[in-house]
Formats: sequence, structure tokens, C-alpha cells
Amino acid sequence: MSTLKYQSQSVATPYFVFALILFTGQIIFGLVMGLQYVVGDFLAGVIPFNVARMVHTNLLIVWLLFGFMGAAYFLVPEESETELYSPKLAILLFWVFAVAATLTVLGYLLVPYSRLAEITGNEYFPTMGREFLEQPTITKIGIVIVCLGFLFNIGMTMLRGRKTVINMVLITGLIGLAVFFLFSFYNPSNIALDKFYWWFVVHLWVEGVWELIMGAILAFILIKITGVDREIIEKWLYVIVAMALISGLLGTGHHFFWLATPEYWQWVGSVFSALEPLPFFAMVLYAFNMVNNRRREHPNKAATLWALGTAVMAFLGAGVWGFLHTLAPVNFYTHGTQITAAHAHMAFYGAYAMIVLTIISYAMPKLRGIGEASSKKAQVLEMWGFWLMTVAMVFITLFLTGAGVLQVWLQRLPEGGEALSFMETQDKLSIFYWAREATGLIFLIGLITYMCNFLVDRKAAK
Amino acid sequence: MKINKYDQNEIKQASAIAVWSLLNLTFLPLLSFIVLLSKINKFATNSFATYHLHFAIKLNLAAATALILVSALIILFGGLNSGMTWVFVITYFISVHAVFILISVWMLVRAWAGNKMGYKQV
Repeated sequence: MSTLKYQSQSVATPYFVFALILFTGQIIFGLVMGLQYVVGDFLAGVIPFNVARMVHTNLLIVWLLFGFMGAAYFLVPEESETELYSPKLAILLFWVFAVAATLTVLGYLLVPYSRLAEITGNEYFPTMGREFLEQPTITKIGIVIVCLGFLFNIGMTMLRGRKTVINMVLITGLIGLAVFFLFSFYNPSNIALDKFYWWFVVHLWVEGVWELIMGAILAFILIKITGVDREIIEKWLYVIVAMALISGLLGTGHHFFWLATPEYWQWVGSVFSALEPLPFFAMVLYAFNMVNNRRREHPNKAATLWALGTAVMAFLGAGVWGFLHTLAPVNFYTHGTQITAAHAHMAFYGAYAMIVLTIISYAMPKLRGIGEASSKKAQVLEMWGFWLMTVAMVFITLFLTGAGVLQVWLQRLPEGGEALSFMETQDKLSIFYWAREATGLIFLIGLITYMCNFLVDRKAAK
Repeated sequence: MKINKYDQNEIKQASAIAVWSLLNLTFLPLLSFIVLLSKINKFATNSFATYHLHFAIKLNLAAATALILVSALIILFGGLNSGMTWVFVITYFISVHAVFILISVWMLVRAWAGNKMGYKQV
């Protein structure tokens, strides 16, 4: 017997499965690149460092997009109290996106990047060659088409069903995601101008509209697992959304400090960035509060753990580690160092990877026909996966922070020609990179453990 | 159904204490601690507010020791002119500070709900 409230929610399954496959790929490429930091020749002929880095970051973005789409397809019918407008369109778009993503990654790996640009006709509409937005123009157009189809499907479902705050916040975040991606097509030849608009995609995604998506998914999960009144959770969501937008939009200024922009950006960026931890702080307060005031003991303990973990890790990674280097006088020394990498790792894992894993944890038992929750044994494995990955990520962040502080000390602070060069500094940081690689391996073990939880209930799954 | 043992006034007092504790760890260090100290002997011995006040003072003293004293010791033994000193101090300070903030947030949530520290509901 199906355990889904609406049958069309099942279209979320391929999105979640593919997201997890890409997540695994991301971690493997991260480990390859991590080793290349200390053993420069490792697989250098096959996967050069720049390619490994590009695949690592692009897989992250794409698997999160698959996760958000799967989350929306699962959540929206239940919130709207109606079947999805077109399950067939959702499946068609899945295949379009999956094929495009796979071909793009294969393109990165199999041909030199310049050749890929030639093959895909980048000269006619140049958008390639920029960090995180390396995708060929044709792939970017594909992403826009998939997003439009997805928004149409989700939007039509919402229009014909119940309108809830969670749905509205989610669709606002998703529309924002699509709109801000359009700046990736603007590629001015002036590099300062290029960077200026590049941040419109990168910053306004992760420190703007994605927070809305995260807040909506977290609110949905908290309502389901705690049984706390929707009205209470919705009020919190309003506060979080307001804080995220007020701080996040002008917080873009922290990327404009050193971009040949007027000096006032250093004030604007510093003040509003200092406020950016607030929505994450509110999320911790609200998640703790809802779980503490729970009205039911949900059998899916793993989903509860993921929800709480998301709030805490997002606060630490995005809030605390973001604040660490966001003020202009500090950022003058730290920008582009390993401190940025430390922040990026914990923030992406804590805020976005974990929220996707939270909804997967909640939805998968239902999607697989197991029921409200997986078996106890499967949940124990899942929770082991949670702790191994999360603790490993904490240590990855700590080691990268250590590397970043030493990098600033050796490369940025000394004056009068005493500063070491970038490569000399990298040599001095190798102990941190080895430690990061070791904890990265533990992260991979955690991921494998997490994946194994799906095998435990395979007989019960229908 | 959850039934609180404490009345609204007690919960309000305990919540205010938890907020001062959180403020001491974030925006208003020291000043908030003085406010907390000024509340000693203001409540009945076994009251809910006294429980939270004692917990808040202990927590903030532990935080001061862990953040100021230990950091100072690291600097003292490591030396100001060593890069590794700053690696340890900065990484240690941020991590431990964040942990104390999280404990204080949990304390606030428990106070709001009329609960003592721990995880179980009343």
C-alpha cells in the first residue's frame, strides 16, 4: 500500500536518487583535489587540478538543484492539498536536466576546457570561463528551460490548491533562483564589472534566495515531525525571511570591497554582513524551540536529527564562519585565503547539503512505500552517517581555518618584502591539507554509511 | 498534553535571565553579566528563575574561563610572534564561543517552555 498522501509526489524519487549520486561524485572529486594540494602530480595527467575543482563545485550546485526540485515536488502537493499539475513534465524535465548535467561533466573530464568551449559554440554567446559558472552556454540555456518548466509545474499546482506561507516562501525562493541565474548570461569584458554581476548569481543565490528555500523546507519538516501549530512556525518563517533578505541583499556589498567600487561599499558591506548571521541564529532558535515543544514523537528520529543538525551547522558555517571574515578591515587580509574555503565548506554543507538530506530523510521512507519512517536499524545507520559526515565537516573546517590563519600570517601580513609567495605559503600549509584529506576520507566513510541505510529496508520497499 | 509546573511569571523571569545570558555571550558582554549578578537573591531559593540564574552564572563563568583565560594562556605560552599561536587561538576561540552560544540558545528555549536544562519535556 502506498504511504504517500498524493501519488504525484513520487516524481521526487529520481531527483533525490540522482542528487545523491552527484553528491557522491562531488565528494570523490573533492578528495582527488584535496590530495593534489599535497601530492601535486596525483592523477594530474588525467584530472588536472582545475578540472577536479570545476567538477567538485559544479556537482555541488547541480546536486543541490536536483535536491531542491525533488523537495519542491514532494512538498508542494502536500502543502497545496492537490496532485502535482503535471507529473509527466516533472519526469521529462528530470531526464533533460540529468542528461545535460552528465554530458557537461563528461565534457569537463574528457576534453580540454578550451575545446569544450569551441565544440559548444561559446564564441557566439560567450558565458564560459568564470568560477562556478563554467557550464557551456548551451547547458546554461538548458538550465533556464528546466527551471521555467519546473516553476510552471510547481506554480500551477500552487495556484489550483491551498496557498500556504511555506509554499509562497518556497516559490519566491525558487523564482529568485531562476531570475538571478540570468545574470550568468551577462559577461562584460571589464573584469571588475564582470565580477560585480557574477556575485549577483553567486551571492544572491546562497546568501539570498536559497535561504528562503531552506527556510521553507525546514518549516515543512518541523511541522511534520513536531506537530507544532502551523501558525507558530509560519510566524517564525516570516521573521527569518525578512532577516535573510534585509541582511543578505545589501550584504552582497562584502564582495564589492576590492572590486574598484566606491569606498562606501566597505561600510554597507560590513554593516549588513554583520547582520547576516541573524537569520541563521533565528533558525537555530526556532528549530530548537519547535523540537522542544513537540506535540508528537515522530518515529523518524533521523529526520529530526537532520533538521536540528541543519539549523546548528548552518548557523556555524554560514553565520559564525561568515562573520569571521566579513568585516572590511579583516577581509582586507583574509579574502581569497583558506578561511574562505573553510567558510564555504561548512556553510554549503550545513545550510544546503543538510537541508536536502533532511527532506530526503523524511520523504524517502514514504516514497519507497516503507511508511512514516525507516526501520530502527536503517535509522541507526543513517544517524551514524549523519555524525560521521558532520563531525568530519567540522574538522575539515577547523583545519582549513588553521591553514587560512597561517596563510594570512605568512603571505598577507608581512610588509617590506618579507611576505612569502603564494606557492611558498602553500608548502607551509601542507600539514593542514593532509589533516583535511584524512577527515575528508572520514566524510566519505560517513557518506557510504549513510547510503547503506537505503539497503537495510530494501525488502520492505515497494 | 504538556503541563508546565511553573506559572507564567516564573517562566518570564527565567526567560529574561536566559536572554541576558545570551546577550553576555554575544552583543553585550560584561554588562549583561553584571545584570545577571544583580539578580542574585531576588528570587525564592528553589524557584524556576533561581535555577536558571544559577545555571546562567555558571555557564558564563565557564565561558569566561574557556574563552579569556585559556586563550590568554595559549598566547602566553605560544608567543605573540608565532603564526601557530594565532592558528590555535582563533580556531579555538571561534569554536568554543559558538558552543557556548548554542548552549545558551538551548537554555532560552527550555526557559520559554518552562523546562529545566536537559532534553526531556516536563
